[in-house]
Amino acid sequence: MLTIKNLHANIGEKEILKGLNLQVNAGEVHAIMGPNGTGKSTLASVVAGREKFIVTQGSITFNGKNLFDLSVEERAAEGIFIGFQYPVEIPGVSIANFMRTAVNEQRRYRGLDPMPIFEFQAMMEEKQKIVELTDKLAGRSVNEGFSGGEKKKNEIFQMAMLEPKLAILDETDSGLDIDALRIVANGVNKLKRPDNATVVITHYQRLLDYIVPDFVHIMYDGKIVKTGDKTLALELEDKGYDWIKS
Amino acid sequence: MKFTCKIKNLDAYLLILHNGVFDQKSIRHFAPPKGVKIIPCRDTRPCVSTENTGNFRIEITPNTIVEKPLQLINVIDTVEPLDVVHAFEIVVGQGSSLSLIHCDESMNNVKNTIQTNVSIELKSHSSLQYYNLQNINNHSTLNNQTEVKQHEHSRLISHTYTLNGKILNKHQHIDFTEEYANSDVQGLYLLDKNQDCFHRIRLNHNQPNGRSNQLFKGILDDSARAHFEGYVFVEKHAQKTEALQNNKNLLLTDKANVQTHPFLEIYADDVKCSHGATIGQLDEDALFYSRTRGIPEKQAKTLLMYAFAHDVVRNVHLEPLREYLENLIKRRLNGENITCENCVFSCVR
Ligand SMILES: Nc1ncnc2c1ncn2[C@@H]1O[C@H](COP(=O)(O)OP(=O)(O)OP(=O)(O)O)[C@@H](O)[C@H]1O
Ligand SMILES: [Mg+2]
Repeated sequence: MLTIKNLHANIGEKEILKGLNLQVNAGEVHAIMGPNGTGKSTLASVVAGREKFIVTQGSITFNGKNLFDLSVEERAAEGIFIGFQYPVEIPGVSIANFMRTAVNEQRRYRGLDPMPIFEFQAMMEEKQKIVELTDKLAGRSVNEGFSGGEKKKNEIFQMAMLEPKLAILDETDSGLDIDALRIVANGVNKLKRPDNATVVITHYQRLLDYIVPDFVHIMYDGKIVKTGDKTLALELEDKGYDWIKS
Repeated sequence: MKFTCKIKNLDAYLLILHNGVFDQKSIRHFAPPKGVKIIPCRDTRPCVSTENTGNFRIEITPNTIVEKPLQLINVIDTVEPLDVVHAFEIVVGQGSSLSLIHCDESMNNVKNTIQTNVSIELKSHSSLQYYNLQNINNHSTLNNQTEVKQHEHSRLISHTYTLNGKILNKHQHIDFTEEYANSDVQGLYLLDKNQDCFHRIRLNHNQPNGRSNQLFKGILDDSARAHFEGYVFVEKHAQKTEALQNNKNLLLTDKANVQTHPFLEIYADDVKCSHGATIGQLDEDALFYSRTRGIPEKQAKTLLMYAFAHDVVRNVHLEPLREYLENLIKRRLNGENITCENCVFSCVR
């Protein structure tokens, strides 16, 4: 599904991704762990298409398509979803309006007619339930004045609405209380299908008790330096990052 | 001549001016509700004892709640590029309330200069919602002068929208002549090409315990220019005044130009006053975030601009008018040129 080969990316003069390789197939769950400032969020941004990161080497293909040929919105419509570490507040744009525009624009890209309004509303209600997002929140502006945890729930809600093929969730667990963590993790699990894939970026092995990964990758200094199964996360918890650095 | 200028679902009393002159036939057909008096004046002789000369005067007798809004339309269709002048007065009696929609609407394509003088007096405990809009062709100039006198515990909600026309001068002068006057003065300007818009707001807190809130927002495209001057005066004995002022601008090009000048002169010491002015671009992070959800850049920009503009429109209390404005703004932001050729008021001759 997603194939990243020898990816190098800069911001300004500074190289952040330094030859990263990653292969994600349909039906798989991957976890990426690694110390602060290693480039995990940068990786998510580069996959999303953020222009301020300049790719200097390497390739990313998604379902056979060269990602670098696609705009940010085209990548989304192809089925890539990013759950952001720091979701952006958009004052004055209601979640309903935002999602309706997003859903219909993605449908347009795929050659479908806009979703009838009643169908859309039913879908909103159904997906809100998955992450236990209250109506009150759903009526508000996108992320405006949301608590950290509410923002993360809203990311999963949007993912549920957009039904992506590949979701990259960047620290969706951080800042969540134990109930919210369970809700968010359940949300991710409920949305899991054999034809989609999830990449979770996390600092905590705790999340991986809920979302069980097929692969755990350790990222360090702009590269994936070690890959294993879920026991790797436990080993990491035990030994810390010094073990990787040395 | 028959006009049926309508805002969808808006049930309003309609008053028509024709090239600035009060249409006598329209007043004959106009059955004013109880407590509303329309007093036409002959020629330019002073209408009432005030210094203002007016074509007519709208008077709301005390303790009258006018349920339906009053809509005043000045239809301009001169063949020659003439000056069109009209003036009127509104007096809202003690304890009364009124909503007034005032539009200047051109149906020709010549370069008119439209001068509108509005004089408003709000007696004690009265309230007025005043919505000023215009749909004039993009050659014409509009000079709009509004003067307001507010008595004790009176309440003003004033909105002015600027979506078309070539040169737009909007001056508002508000005096708090007694205590506990309360004003929300708002405006929205969406400009492009070589439109030129000038707002000058002067708000005088002459008496204690007044509250005012100015919010003016603008989006400028192409080489449009906007100028905002906001004066707030707080007299020495006007204690416990609360005066807020905000002017926010979005520039979509390098050639668009905004100048914003807040002037605060405060002589009282126990007051709460603040002002802010911003000139900026669309939020890059919000734009990127929207695009990662599959919303193409152009639509994402429109969405963000609409949200910016809606901050003003959401305060419109008359729902049909709010919906109408929302629709108008959406169309405007989508690049539709709203002129009388595709008459937004769906005026039928
Ligand atoms: N806009 C920017 N300008 C300059 N440097 C940046 C910018 N964005 C990121 N960086 C740098 O790139 C490096 C990688 O950042 P990134 O956010 O990808 O790390 P991360 O692995 O997600 O860290 P964390 O675990 O703290 O979220 C950091 O050194 C960071 O300071
Ligand atoms: Mg990060």
